[in-house]
Formats: sequence, structure tokens, C-alpha cells
Amino acid sequence: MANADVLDILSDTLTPTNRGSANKDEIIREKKKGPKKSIRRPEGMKREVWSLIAPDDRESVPIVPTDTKSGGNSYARWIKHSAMKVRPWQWTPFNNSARGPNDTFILYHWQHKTDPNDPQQEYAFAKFNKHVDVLTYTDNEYEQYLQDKDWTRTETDVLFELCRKFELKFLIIHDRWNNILYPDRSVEDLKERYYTICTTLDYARTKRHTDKYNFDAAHERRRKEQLNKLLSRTKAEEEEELYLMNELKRIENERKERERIISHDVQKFVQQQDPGIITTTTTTATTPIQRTVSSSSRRSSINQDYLQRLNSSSNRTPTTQRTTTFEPPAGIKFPEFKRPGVFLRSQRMILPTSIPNKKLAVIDQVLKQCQLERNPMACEEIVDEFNDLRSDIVLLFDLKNALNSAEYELQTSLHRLKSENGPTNVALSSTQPLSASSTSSNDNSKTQFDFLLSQPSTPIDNVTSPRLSDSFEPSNNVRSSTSKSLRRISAMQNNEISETQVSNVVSRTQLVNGLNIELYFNIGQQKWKCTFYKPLVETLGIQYNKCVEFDDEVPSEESPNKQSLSENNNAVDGAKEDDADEEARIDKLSQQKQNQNQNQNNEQEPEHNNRENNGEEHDDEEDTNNEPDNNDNKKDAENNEQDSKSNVNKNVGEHNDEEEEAAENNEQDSKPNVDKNEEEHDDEEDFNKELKTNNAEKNQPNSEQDMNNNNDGDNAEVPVKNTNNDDDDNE
Amino acid sequence: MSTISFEPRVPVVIVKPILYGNTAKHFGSKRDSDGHTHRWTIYVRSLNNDDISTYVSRVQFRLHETYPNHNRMINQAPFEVEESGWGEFEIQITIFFLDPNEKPVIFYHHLKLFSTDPEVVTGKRPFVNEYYDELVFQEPSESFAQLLNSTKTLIPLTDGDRATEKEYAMKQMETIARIKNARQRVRNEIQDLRERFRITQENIKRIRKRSIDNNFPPDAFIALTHENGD
Repeated sequence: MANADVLDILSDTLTPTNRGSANKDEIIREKKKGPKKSIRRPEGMKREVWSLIAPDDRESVPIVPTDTKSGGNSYARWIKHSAMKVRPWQWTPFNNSARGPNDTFILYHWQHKTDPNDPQQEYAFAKFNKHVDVLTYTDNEYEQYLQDKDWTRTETDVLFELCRKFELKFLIIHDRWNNILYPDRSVEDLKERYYTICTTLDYARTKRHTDKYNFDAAHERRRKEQLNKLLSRTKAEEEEELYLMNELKRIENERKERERIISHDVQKFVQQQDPGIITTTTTTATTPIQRTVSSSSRRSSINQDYLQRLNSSSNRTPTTQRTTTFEPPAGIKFPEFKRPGVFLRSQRMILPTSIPNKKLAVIDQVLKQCQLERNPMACEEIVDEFNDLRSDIVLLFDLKNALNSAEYELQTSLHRLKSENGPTNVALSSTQPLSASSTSSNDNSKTQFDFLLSQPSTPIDNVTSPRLSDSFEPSNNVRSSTSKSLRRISAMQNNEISETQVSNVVSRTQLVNGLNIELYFNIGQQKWKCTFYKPLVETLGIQYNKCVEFDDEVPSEESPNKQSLSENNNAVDGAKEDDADEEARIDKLSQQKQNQNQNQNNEQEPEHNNRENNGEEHDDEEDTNNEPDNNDNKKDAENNEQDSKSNVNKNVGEHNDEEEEAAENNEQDSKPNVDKNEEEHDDEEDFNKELKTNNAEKNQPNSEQDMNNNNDGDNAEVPVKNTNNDDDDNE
Repeated sequence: MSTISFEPRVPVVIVKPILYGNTAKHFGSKRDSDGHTHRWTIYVRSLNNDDISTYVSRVQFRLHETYPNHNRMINQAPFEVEESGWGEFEIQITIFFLDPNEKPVIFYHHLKLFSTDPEVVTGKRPFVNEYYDELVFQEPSESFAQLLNSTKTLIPLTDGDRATEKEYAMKQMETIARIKNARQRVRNEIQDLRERFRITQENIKRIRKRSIDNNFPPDAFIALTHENGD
């Protein structure tokens, strides 16, 4: 049918063929001619466009859908129906049976025309007229069970009558309640009375408790009151509430995020400590840690435990009930060969590819520090030990990360605590759990370094700790620099800094082929300035440079810059605020050292000048420390390169203590240092040289001081110091 | 040498130490015809000059594609390929065993020609770049095990060989010592960090607790619940 319409529409463009005439000749002629040649689609025109306007009857596609069998296509249906006649409607009267049997009210509505024979259907909506059966009570029952001090009999009767009449629509009932005759009742009062009566009646009649008529009037009252309050909020209040909710959400998210990160790190190694104890929260993680570190004997056994587990490449299975999640072991799982067959021993040493690059770099670095090659010869024992070593390294790395994030969390918590309490009433009580070796118990410090410093290690011991794991320093330069500097200072002063106040931390960084960091802060009354260098090679971490006390120096002194520049220039850097005096002295110095190797190392010479400026206070220290260092210093002085005029104002004395410490450190670590130094020299020659190490620095000033003091000391120091001017202490 | 365990419980494991690597010698000048500058030999041999052909059927060296016949199959001792060239590349070495059930072992060796060692440069010492490794046979078949265990020396031990043996033995001991040392250090650090971590955790807990106490004195909760009580 649609085609017929289409045909009509398009008939103008079609060639008028006279289909009416059944002219035989014409038909034959048509046949002879062959089917009419269809006009070809012009090139460039799309197929669909052509089919729209093609004058070809045979191939035309119906323009409108004609199939209505599938039923889903309403348009098709409409088309189909549009050709049909309309179904007739009728204006019919009807009777609503819900109005009651005696009702004679007649209404009219449109209905489809039905056969008159068909029985009249019931009004469709009558079935929705539900009726409620309200209980009735006898007088006896009322006297027996339903007496109430607030309600008289008549009131109750009236209430029930209303309930019956209005089908328990209490709002209407309440509206109809007669305030004049009877006391004023709220909706809840009415409901309460009704439902209590119902329950009592029900119980009385059936002797069984049901929950059918439970109604808590008090709750309802409170609920309505709350809703009223909610409705009557002012705009301002509402906004404030929204704001608070958002804040809460944000804080919760942050906290969860941090906890997730921390717990991730924590869990990775916590479950190493005790077999089978794996926790999922950070707070509970402390208990297993406590247990493992309780005694040294336990420690070694746990080490063995954990070593054994690392040796085997089987997965760990949690054994206690507290385990809710299973974490993969923190060590590396190396390929192992159990099945019969041949394999090459070195294949067991291959690192699995799943190790992220960072860890690979860390492993390489540590191996280098320990003078091990990446692929040692493949004997059985070596392979085992080597694999275990690498697993341990990875574990150490993870542990360091976890520790850092925990410390960070600690700081933020502390901050929060501070801001909550205000600056006056923070009195963090005794630090006993904090530090095994801390001396003071009433630490009133409001500093953030309290806990950073609360390490059981004294400055001298644990030499290795700063070596290896510090190379994984996090990117938070300020934090790590400050902790390093404080450690140094404690070392220098041979006491714990944690008790004094560290405040007023200012950090400045300059990026000169590496990150030079200056850190200014106060300890007690004394101001300190520490410089650090962080090479571009990320894994090398932050190298300690030096720490000096200074007196109110304008922090704008550009010492690191000068360090870098002057090294190359060998010239006195002019931009000093110092007097020409110093320059003179410096010249003298350079004369003394003229014939020395221009080799790497030092630039800095905190010298005479410094001593004289600030010398008195530190003389004692220096003197005592000078002696062991004398010879070394002299030799070093010869070897060292002079001038870098930085730090002229700084006090040199402090270096002495450091020197001692460094000396001891050097004994142990000379070799790694050498290796490291050489390596670094290749990489960052200039700046490593500039930013010197303790040795160089100390040697310098000491040499000067020696000359000044004329002390004769014995050479108690390791000769290493002399030869390794390039030592970079990676503190 | 080889280690044999006879206990019935313990799986039989036989270990054969081998050395593989290359030597290289500079011509002195660049050969005009093809630009070759070095003569090098890549080899696989036993540590103490055993005849590994008792259990090795053949060794295949896969050289760089630019070499003619770059898959060199060596079927008898000595298992080595001598060639000349100008560049360094990775050589894939496959060792096939007499026992057809055993899979061949494949590994790689980077051919090194150049060295900065002054002695090598002047030609006093030949440049040797070799690695020690061990072939571990796990549960070989009986016949194969017998073959493995019956070693015969190829040529009488020379002093040079003995020296090599000693060298490797020393190197092994050194390496072990150093590794052990390193492990000790790492373990110490781990312990240290663990302690610090524990302390930090405790501190966090304390702070949190304190924070909670400050903000919500213990009776506050009770009051709150009363207000909003259901």
C-alpha cells in the first residue's frame, strides 16, 4: 500500500507507460527490445542517493517500513493503522459499585463501543476501594483492659467512631477532632491511643503477642520534630552543613589514601617478621614488630626463619587466624629447577623480569658499594648467597620506603595535633618509647624532628646504615636533609639533639647541575646552616656537605653557588661580605698549597678566618681533635686544592668532631668510598669535587688550625684520608 | 669436579663445572680486505680440562648473521670456533648432550674484543673473557649418569690449567666472603630500620590516640548518643 502512495508521488518522474493497454504489439516490441536499459548511476553519486531518485521501478526500496509483524515498530503500525478506520467510542453512563449498594449516582465517561449483549463490566476502579475493619470493644473489655488516665470513655468512643468513619486516616481524624469538647490531642496522641487499645484488645482476645500494632509514639514525635527542624533551616545553616560534609569526605579520603599506601609498604615486610602473622591495619602492625625486636636471640632466629623462607621459592602461607589477606613475599623469587633435566647454574641467578626498574637500580648500586659484580661466578654456594643477598636488598628498599611513609604520616599527624591543640598546651610526654638513648624525658619540643631523631642509634655506630639505605633517599629533600644534618650535628657535639628545639627551618635549593640544598635552622639559640648536594643521578641520594653554625648571617649568602663556581676558577669569589682580611689570608693559604695536585676534591676552605671570627668558643674542641688529625691534615693540605671562598664566615670548628667520626667511618668504608668516588668522578666530576666531603673540609681547617696552634699530634688517623681526597661521604 | 650423591632419598644431582668465553688477539692493523681487526676464538671447555665430549654430543655456536654459516656446529672436542672479525656481538651457545632425553642448554656470551688493560693492548697477554658456570644435571638417567661420572682428561693437566683452577677457586672464596659480608651489612640495616619503623608506628599510634582524646573527651560520646538516640 505504501508503495502505491510512493508510486503516486513519483509518478511524475516516471515515464508514462501505458499499462492499461494490453497492446500485443507493444508488448512484443518491448520484449524484443529487451528489458529497458536502466540508466546507470552517475559516477560520484552514492549508491543510496541514486536509489532514491532512480527512475527504476524494479529496484526501488520501499521508503517507509511496511512490515508490522515484528510488532516493535510503532511507526509501521501507525502507517498501517492510518489506513484503517477509527474504532468507535461511546459516551456511556456507569455506576460505581464502590459507592455502596444504595448509591444511585450516575456518571458518564467515554468507552469503546461494546456489543449491547455483553454484560456490563464493573467499574474498573471500584476494586481499589479498600475498607478497614476497626476493632470494637465491649464495655466489659473497656473496663477491664482499656482504662487510661488521660482518656475518658467518651473520648475513646469518639476516637474510634472517627477511625471507623475516616478509615484510619489519622490526619483527617486529627483535623476532625473536637478541641472544644475534649482536650487537644496531637496526631501522635490519637494514634498512640488507638494502637495501644488494639494491642491490648488483641492480646486479651487471643492471648498472644503480635507485632501488628507496634507504634512508637515517642519516636514519631522526635522524628517529626527533626523534620520540622530540617525544614526550617536557614540558608546559612544549610550551606554550612554542606561545607562540613564535604570537608569530612575529603579528610576521610586523604586519610584512607595514606593508610592504604602505608599499609601496603608495611605489610610487605611486616609479615616477614613473624611467620604467619599478617595484619591488615597499620596499628596492629606494631605488635608483631615489637615482638620480633625484643631480643637479639629472637632476632637471629627470626633472621634464620626468614632466610629459610627466602631460600625456598615456595609461597608463604599464613598460619594464624588474624590473617585476612595474603601478601606475596617481599623478597625476590628466583627461578628454581626441581624437575629432572639439565640446566646451567647461572640460570638460577637470573633476576625475574617482574622487578621494577627502580629496584634493579638499587640492587646494582648496593652491589657496587659492596664491590660485587653483577654476575659472579656460578658456584652453588655463591648462587644461593647471591640470590639471598639480592632479596635482602629489595627488602631493605621496601622497608626504607615504608619507614619513610610512616615517618611522613607521623609528621602530618603531629602537625594536625599541633594545630588542634594550639601551640601552648602541647606537652608530649616522656619520650621513653621514642628513643632508647634519649636523655630527657620531659621533652617539650614542638618540633617535627622529635621523632625523626628518636633513633636508637648513636652517631658512631651503625655505620652501614647511612651508607646503603640512604642511597634510597626519598624525594623529600628537606626532611631527609634535616635529619641528616641533625645527625651530623649530634655527631659533632656528641650529644643528642633531639631535646633541644629545632625551629625556624628554612630551606633553599638551587639547581646547578644537581640540587644544592641549603638548610637554615635554629637549635636552641644557635643558628645553623647546612649544605647538601643531591646529584642528578637519583639513586645516589643526598650527600651531606657540611653544617656550620653561623651568626645571623643573612641567608642570602650564596655559598653553594660559589662553591661550584670557584672550584673551577680558582679565584677568590668576590661576592663576599667579608673583609679583605680574609682574602689576604686565603691568598696566603693558596701560596702554601701551590704545588699540590690540582686534583679533584676540595674547593672549600673554611679557614683561619672562620676560626678567628668564631674561634674562641670552639677552640677547645678543636684542640682536642686536632691532635689525631695533624699529620693527616698537613698532608691533606698539601694535596688539597685551595680556594673556594665560600663559607668564609662559617665556623670551622664543628668539623673536627665530624672528622673523627668520618675517620672511623672511613676505616670501614674506605674501599666502598673509593669505588664510589671514582664512579662519581666520572659522572659528575665538577660538582663532586666542589661539594666536598667531611674529610676534605676537616682536613683543611684542621691544617690551618694546626698551623695556628702548633699542635703536634700523632697520626692516629687512617692514611686513607690522605690519599682519598675525593672521599664523598654519602651521608 | 663432579659431585655425586648416592643416597636413595636425595635426588641425584651431578655438577660439571665449565668455562666458556672467548679469547681475542688484535692483528695489529686493520685487514684491508674485510676490515677485520681481531682474531678471536670462542670456546666451551671444562674447568680442569676434562673431555666433555663424554657427555656432550655437540655444541652449536650461533654467530652474527653476517658471518657465512653463522650456525657453527662443533661435533667433537675441542668445542670452539675460531674466527676473525672487527666487532663485538652476542653469541648464542647451545650444548647438546649425548642423552637424547636431555634438553639442550642454551646461553649467551657477549664476544669481547677490546680491552683497556695495557698488557693486553701491547700484546703481552692474550685477552681472555671467560665465565665460570656449572652444568647441573638433575636426576640423569642411569646410563647418562655413568657417562657423566667417567671423565677422562683430554690432555695432561698443564700448569696453566692448574693455575686457572686455582684462580677460580680463589675467586670463588673471595666472592663468597664478600657476599657474606654484604649480606651481613644489609641485614644489620634491615634490623635497624625495623626498629625505627616500629618506633615510628608507635608514635603514630600515640599521636592518634592523643588527638582523639583531645577532640573527643571520653564522655562526649555518651552525650551525643543521648541526643540523637532513637
